[in-house]
Amino acid sequence: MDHQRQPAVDFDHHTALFAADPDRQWRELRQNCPIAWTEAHGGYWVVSDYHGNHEVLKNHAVFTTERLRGLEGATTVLIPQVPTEYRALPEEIDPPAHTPVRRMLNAVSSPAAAAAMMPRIRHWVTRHIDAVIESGACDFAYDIASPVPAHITFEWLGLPLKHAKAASEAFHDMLGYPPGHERFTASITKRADVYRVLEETVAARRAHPLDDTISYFTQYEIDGAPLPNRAIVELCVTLVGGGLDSTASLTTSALAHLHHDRALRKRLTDEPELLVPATEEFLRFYPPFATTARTARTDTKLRGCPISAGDRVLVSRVSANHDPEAFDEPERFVVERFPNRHVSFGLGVHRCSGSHLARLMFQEMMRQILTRITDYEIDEQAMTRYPDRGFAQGWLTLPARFAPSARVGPWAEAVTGGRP
Amino acid sequence: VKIRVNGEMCQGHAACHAHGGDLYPLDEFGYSSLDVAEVPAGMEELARRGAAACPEMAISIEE
Repeated sequence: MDHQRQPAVDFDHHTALFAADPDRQWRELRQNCPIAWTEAHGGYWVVSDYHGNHEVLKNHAVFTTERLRGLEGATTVLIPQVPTEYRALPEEIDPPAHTPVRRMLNAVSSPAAAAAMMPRIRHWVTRHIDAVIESGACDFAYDIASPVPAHITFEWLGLPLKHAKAASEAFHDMLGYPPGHERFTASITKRADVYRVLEETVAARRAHPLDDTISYFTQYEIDGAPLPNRAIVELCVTLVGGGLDSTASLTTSALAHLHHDRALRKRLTDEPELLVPATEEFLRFYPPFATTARTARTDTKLRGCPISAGDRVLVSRVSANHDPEAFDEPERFVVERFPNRHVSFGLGVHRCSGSHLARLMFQEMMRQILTRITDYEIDEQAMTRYPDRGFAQGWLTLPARFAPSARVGPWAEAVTGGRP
Repeated sequence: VKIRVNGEMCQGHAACHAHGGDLYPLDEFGYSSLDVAEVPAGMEELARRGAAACPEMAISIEE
């Protein structure tokens, strides 16, 4: 019954060899074998071209995110699967069940809803820059890029802000340190604390709704019935898990890029309106989540390759974004590239619901950093990437020095809970 | 010149609205509210930009 899966390649997106030069690995795969099978991690198909991203991600009926039999208890959008206490909602369900949950979420994550958050986005960016600007030194990752999205997301959901800093560190360290490292272990504990806060807040808002997004979820009805607390927690776990360090990664990638490309930094500082198209090019170049995964629900064919029901499929966004079939001179960073149909927010029904908010958070962080910390120099000896580049890509630490200047504050209370 | 949006394919990226402005209205969920629309004279280029921006390739321009 088991057929030979061809073409087979020797590939593993989680090795040190891969992390040493992912661009080259993706290029070779994309050029030679854009749909390929590897035996690593129990076996999976690797889809590395732009067209393949469209074929797989837009066809949820065949390539599903659901936890099919044999995939229970662990996330399906990673290869290998990682055990999780919660199913990602609505990411790990497909239509028709997906549709009303997504609709509920879309109403509070649309471009208009995100734009309405601009005053709060500005506020949190200003406060975090204020916390470091007099000292003339900061770590862009831990002091700004990671905690800013956490505070904005926590405030939007209605989670207690005193937990935002620890949450941002948990999700950052989880990607930045390998399993077994004490910081990784600590991050798992901190994440469990975040989940406990989520459980408590959802229950509290169910009893006494406030004017926040969790209260909106608890009061929302689908087919005349409210969602159970468990489902709302799963939804919030997804929003917090997907929304915090992704925007952080994009921001650190852009700041590292502009450390090297001073001409571009000057252009973006002098012409801040260019940040809007530049955001899309930073997204294309540095997708925070380089890959995603699906499972074949049925036997199918992908450009002639026979895929069996149950086969796992890794889809490379970063490789699609560098596919010359879809982008002229893909290796060049072109600020005003148009069209720029990158796939960094995904395609199909599971398109990142936080995409509109993410763009605004990123742009405001960049705008204020380029205005207030315009002369930053990153410590090239100390700057460190996430060690694994097969899933999340960004910078673990990005220490910088700059000319100190004055705060805009004063603020009633400190924003940071101390450097980790 | 007409804009035609495939509503089944629209996933709410809102790139059409970002690049084509009011030619591409969004509904309260941030998805395109268009089916077919006539492009006012002189705005054809803007319509083409809005269509070209769609990452789902859900929009066509009929000349």
